[in-house]
Amino acid sequence: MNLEIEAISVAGPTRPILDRVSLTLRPGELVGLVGPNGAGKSTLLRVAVGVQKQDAGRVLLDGRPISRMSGRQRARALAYLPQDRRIEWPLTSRSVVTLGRYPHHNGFSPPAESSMRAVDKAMHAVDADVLADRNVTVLSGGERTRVLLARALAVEAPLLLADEPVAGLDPYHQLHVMEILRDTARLGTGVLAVLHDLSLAMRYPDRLVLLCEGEVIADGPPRDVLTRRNLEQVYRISAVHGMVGDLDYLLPWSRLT
Amino acid sequence: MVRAWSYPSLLAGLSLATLLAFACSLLVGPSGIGLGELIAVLRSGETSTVSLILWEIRLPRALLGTLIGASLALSGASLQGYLRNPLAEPGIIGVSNASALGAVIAIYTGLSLRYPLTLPLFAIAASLIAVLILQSLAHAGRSLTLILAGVAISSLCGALTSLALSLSPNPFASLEIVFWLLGSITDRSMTHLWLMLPFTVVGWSLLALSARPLDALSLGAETAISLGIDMSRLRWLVTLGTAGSVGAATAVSGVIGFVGLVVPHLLRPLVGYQPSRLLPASALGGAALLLTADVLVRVIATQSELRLGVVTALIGVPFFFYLVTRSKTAYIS
Repeated sequence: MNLEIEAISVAGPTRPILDRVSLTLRPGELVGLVGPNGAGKSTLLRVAVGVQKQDAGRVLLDGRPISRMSGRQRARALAYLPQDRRIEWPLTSRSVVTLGRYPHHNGFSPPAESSMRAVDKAMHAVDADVLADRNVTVLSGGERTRVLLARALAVEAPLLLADEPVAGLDPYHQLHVMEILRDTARLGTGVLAVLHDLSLAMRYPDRLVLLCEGEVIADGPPRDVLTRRNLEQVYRISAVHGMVGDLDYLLPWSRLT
Repeated sequence: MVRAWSYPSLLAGLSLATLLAFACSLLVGPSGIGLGELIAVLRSGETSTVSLILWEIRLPRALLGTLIGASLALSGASLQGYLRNPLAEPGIIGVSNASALGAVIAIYTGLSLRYPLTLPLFAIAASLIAVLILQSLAHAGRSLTLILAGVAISSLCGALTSLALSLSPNPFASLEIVFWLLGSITDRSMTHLWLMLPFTVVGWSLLALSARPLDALSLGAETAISLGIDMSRLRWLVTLGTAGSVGAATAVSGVIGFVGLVVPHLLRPLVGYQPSRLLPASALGGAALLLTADVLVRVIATQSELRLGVVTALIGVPFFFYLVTRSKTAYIS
């Protein structure tokens, strides 16, 4: 399933938060959404999943506007991992992940066998099988993020939008979550992830979209997006750029004054 | 924290407790009716003093206790889930106070003396009006504005009730208002039951529909919306459901606090903290608690019968304090 974001604008108090932003997400690709703080990345994701209303433009799923879809149809097509990692009650990990099946069953009937399998599969994908019966209040930040990511994967939607999935994680878990996202994309899901870590953004995504002050500055392979010029103009930093084998790496180095 | 009971056995246990409390409510009272007498009356079907007491006094009282207790705890559980706050209770959205104000207006104007049914009808109407005001004041999707608007409505209704009390032309009317406000289900008839029943049924149905969306809401509003939940529909379900069931309950019994706060709170760990499972458990627990309190009201010998609202608070609050201090970490997550 294709996600097409067409000329989305969202007005802000002084300047537009998003100004005619367009973006396409195709099955099987991992796209990183990058840009400095306040560029409008989270807003764009929220508009795309229908959590926030846009002032202009539209979001299409295989050519069909999501505004004309029911909440459930939209929910089955688009899984969303918000930045907000709160879990209000001390539920078990498994019951949190099971919430991902919400759009798939009706009324008061217990979740079907296929749903239980989807939950198991999602927990396995994030390496959280052993956490199943653990209370979410006792999980570490990395475990909690993985459980919430499993919740999003359990929807089994063709598209996954993740807002800063690696924020607040140690390097081990950052690499782990990026690998999960890449593997998810390899299995055919279209994944769009907001990323702040430019080293990870350089390595994992197939494509990057660079957003600044509500506008798309660049869209393409990481090395064509995170150019020296873009880093200087958009991020106001310089970076160390090198190669490991035939892979590019990037290390933010100093601020430009 | 430990879940020693499975969910079905918890529900079975609570149902049993409710049944026992219901039976006690039929058996206990100033004119003692034994179990044998009760069964004999049920069998013979003759009209006697005993059967009159049973059918006209005890049964409506027991049934009202069940409905009211269930309504208070069920809406408390639903509101706590919706606001994601264990401190929420039906009073927080102003429904109880508005309903009380409606009843006080009926008493104050003397309408309730001439037409007794105006009291519950006014109370229900007031609670529905309160919800309409609440909905228009509160910003969609934000639970804080709902609490703020609810507290404002609640204070306004409280102030108007006090105004009615202080302006009351004769002391009997003010005394009646005060007693009514304290909460009781003494001397109610089957008419009261039939009157509150439709509102209660509608209210319960709306609250039942809120159960599954409340589960999804445990991950916050954004996740809930992305799972296909219509937040404004959910808000209507919770507020209208509360207004219907608690409005009708308050209309008949006056203000009975505490049940809606503490019952869901006590049962939450036992259902694994899942909001949807908490709803049926709370309804049963609330019914059992209110019936028990109402039996205690009759058993504790005082010059005039104790008020139900007073008893639920006097017993419940210390118990609540005990629980909160005993397990600080377990309850506040």
